[in-house]
Amino acid sequence: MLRNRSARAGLVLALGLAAACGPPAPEDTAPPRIAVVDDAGHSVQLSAPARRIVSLIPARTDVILALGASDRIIARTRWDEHPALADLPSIDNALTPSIEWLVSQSPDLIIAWPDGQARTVVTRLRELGVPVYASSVETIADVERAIGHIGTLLGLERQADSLLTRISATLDSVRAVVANAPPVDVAYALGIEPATVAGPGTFIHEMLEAAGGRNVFADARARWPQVSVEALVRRAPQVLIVGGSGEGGIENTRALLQLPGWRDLPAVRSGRVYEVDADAVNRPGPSLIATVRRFAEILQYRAATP
Amino acid sequence: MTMGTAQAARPPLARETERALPRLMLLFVLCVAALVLSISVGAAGLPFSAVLATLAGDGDEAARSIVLDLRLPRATLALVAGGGLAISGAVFQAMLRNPLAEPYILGVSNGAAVAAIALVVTGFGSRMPGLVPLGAMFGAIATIALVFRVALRVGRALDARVLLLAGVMVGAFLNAVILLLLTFADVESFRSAIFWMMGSLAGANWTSSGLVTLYVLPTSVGLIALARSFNLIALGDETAAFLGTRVDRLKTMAYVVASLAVAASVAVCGVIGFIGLVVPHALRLLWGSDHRLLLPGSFLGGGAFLLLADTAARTIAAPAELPVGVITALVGVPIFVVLLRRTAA
Repeated sequence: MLRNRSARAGLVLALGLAAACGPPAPEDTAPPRIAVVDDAGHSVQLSAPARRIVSLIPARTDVILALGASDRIIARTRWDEHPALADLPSIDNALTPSIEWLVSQSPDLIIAWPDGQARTVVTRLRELGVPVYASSVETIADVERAIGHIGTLLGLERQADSLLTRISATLDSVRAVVANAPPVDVAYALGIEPATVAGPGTFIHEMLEAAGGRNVFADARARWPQVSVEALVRRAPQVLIVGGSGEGGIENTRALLQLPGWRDLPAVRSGRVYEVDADAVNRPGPSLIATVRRFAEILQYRAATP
Repeated sequence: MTMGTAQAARPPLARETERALPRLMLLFVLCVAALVLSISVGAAGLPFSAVLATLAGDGDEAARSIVLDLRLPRATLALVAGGGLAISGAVFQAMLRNPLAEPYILGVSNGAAVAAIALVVTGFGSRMPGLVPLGAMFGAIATIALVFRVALRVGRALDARVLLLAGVMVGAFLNAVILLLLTFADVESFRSAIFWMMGSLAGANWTSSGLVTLYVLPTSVGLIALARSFNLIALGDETAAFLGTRVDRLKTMAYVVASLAVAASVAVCGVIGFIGLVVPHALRLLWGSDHRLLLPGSFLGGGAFLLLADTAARTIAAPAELPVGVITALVGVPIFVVLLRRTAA
């Protein structure tokens, strides 16, 4: 009943808008509609730049922060630790936010994963008429597309363009530096028990390759495969990069160096094991500028001493 | 077996029936109270007057959206899903004569999960949002059919032990399939699948709660109508047959009907453990095992329990939500242990 009413209201609104768009009215033209197609294939339409935003994806929250729009974010997740967001209400792990709380905050944009299964929060919010932008978080292209779209949705195209330019300039310059260096066999470990590494089709893989590495798990069947230590030993990476320190990272890289199998890796023997900040590196967002530089430093470093 | 002897030691059935009505009234009142509570409180913190105004047809857009489109369908879903799980739990315990029997014991939940996760992992689920619950329902029904086929091929007609074994075996097999699917899932599908398996009422809308109601209400009424026959089955298959019950036909019908109710709820809410196990047992401990009281009592008690648990899940950690299964077990276990000790003493 209510759905019908809102559907009818939507129709009336749409017709009204169409009518308003028909003859060019010089005085009170409706603001140009903002429309992008998100990664779930939905068209996201706003009548004005988004001002009250909830991002369920920390890597996309980072994009909003990088565009200088932290004041438009109205809730944070457990992982959004930027000081500008510290006082906002937390929807914890963002897996099960309260839909009615979100609706009661009258957000004008929700950024979420494109998982379209029926029970999820995302589908329910969309049904209730809250604009939802679904964003994939697997590759560098996903990041760049999201930056462009979020720039459009927030009316910050100029800032988005300059961020995109910085990313592509960084990637280009790193690629230019490593162009003539022989590729270095490398593995990126997200976890050691069980050994979980970055496989193909991930932004980490792409950054490793851009920085002159050759991901020894480039042929894995999954994006983040769990691999046996045996497979790791056989593939013998010359460099091992470990996502460490923060939450979700590897607690103690030092302990790893003592583990059977691991301790015999060429990377461990030659002392080329590097710990990077998992919180920053594992987030496919603007932080990839710093990450790809760091990867290049690590991979192109030639040990002067044995 | 034990239920039969407990029955004999109780006062005559006539007095039990006299007591049944006020007891059911009590559960009904509890259910209504839980329903009112669940519609009045939530993370959005609407004042009670605003809720009333919205129900009366006034209220602003946001309040209408919250009360009519979110809280009401979700409360309806909690009521019928909880009731359906508890009543089918009671029926499975009676049919299988096994106190550990619960609604998912024949592998229904694993079947639903395999189908749902397969749809999510392959990406079909994200292209057509309505597909996942439909697929889950199909998976659940296919599993029931498979378990019965295995059981009937192995044992004599519907031997409870063989059926239980078939259910556990098929469930274990499907569980392995789930793990295999998850091994090759990307991060996003993995998240979806985990969310699905946790069990939640968050996705409730009028379509899903209506569908579950459509399955659960008729099946529950049907099961309650068979309550007298369940009492006879509790005395033993042979005695029941001697007293004129067509045991095999009744059992097949009861399994299928109860499994359908479970399949509908698992397709929409995922796996919500514990209600189907603890609510019927609690009622048996309190009021004995006359199924004419136990079955309607389980429906009302299960509905009230899931309503209250979901209300807690929605509000305690607001603006985030807790998995409702956490609440049902954290609250249900202590209550059950107290009941058990009191009865033993």
